[in-house]
Amino acid sequence: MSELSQKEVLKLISHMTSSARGLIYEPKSYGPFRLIDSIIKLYQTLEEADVIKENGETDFDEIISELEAVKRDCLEEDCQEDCAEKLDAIINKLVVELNKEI
Amino acid sequence: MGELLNLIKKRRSIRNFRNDKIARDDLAELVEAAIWAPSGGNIQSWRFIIVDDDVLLEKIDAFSPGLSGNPPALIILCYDKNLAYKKGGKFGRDILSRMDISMAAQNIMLLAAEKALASCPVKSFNRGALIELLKLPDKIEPELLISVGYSFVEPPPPKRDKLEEICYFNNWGEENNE
Repeated sequence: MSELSQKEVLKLISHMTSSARGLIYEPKSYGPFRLIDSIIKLYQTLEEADVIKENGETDFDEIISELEAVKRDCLEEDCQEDCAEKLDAIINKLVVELNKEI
Repeated sequence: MGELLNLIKKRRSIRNFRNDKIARDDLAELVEAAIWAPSGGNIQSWRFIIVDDDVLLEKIDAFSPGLSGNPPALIILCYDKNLAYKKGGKFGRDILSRMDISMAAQNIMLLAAEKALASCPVKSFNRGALIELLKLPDKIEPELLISVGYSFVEPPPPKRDKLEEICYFNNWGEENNE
């Protein structure tokens, strides 16, 4: 039976809340980095808990791997346009995937 | 190129660690290197906590967005606010103690690099949570975390400005470099 422990949920909430708190005074470029980091942590937690009902159509691993690449790049100097383009491409994929689900 | 300069250039901020534990003697030696850093007024208000307990590491990780890669150990660099103020006044507490921490941190990371240990300085952590988790007394301020561990990644060198663009002899020479 799939199960998401209270501990893992608390860890996620703690991470995201601490990120939000830190971002108030951190550089602007940390924002996308922290959000992508949270997405990856959230996905990993859900996957490890085996709570995602996969119908085999959406390649989550590919999407997460693309997000990992943007996360690595998004703190680099002058990366805004490049990261925006890459995130737009991921979002386009997500639209297609979500259209299949809804 | 000298050995030390090579080591300085070889050090990287690593955010991906193997699970292997680090010997406590090695961790203690890193802190030994730290306390030989320069200290403003020789106040030495720095204090260190080495964390290698898995449960505590997991808790600290949850409140430290800047921490990545599940390191097997952390060195928490703190300073004693009361001691720094008593010996160095406001300047000692607010400025010198933090500069001391920075210099101590570099010593830690360089010795780690020499020991083939990866490290990463982390400032993005929740101060209140860390104080609570480490049971720090009021006078102790956590300033910086350094994650330490073995790693299998070796990132390429990050971009650095050219020396002639940022360094001048004797007086400001920006115009000469344009």
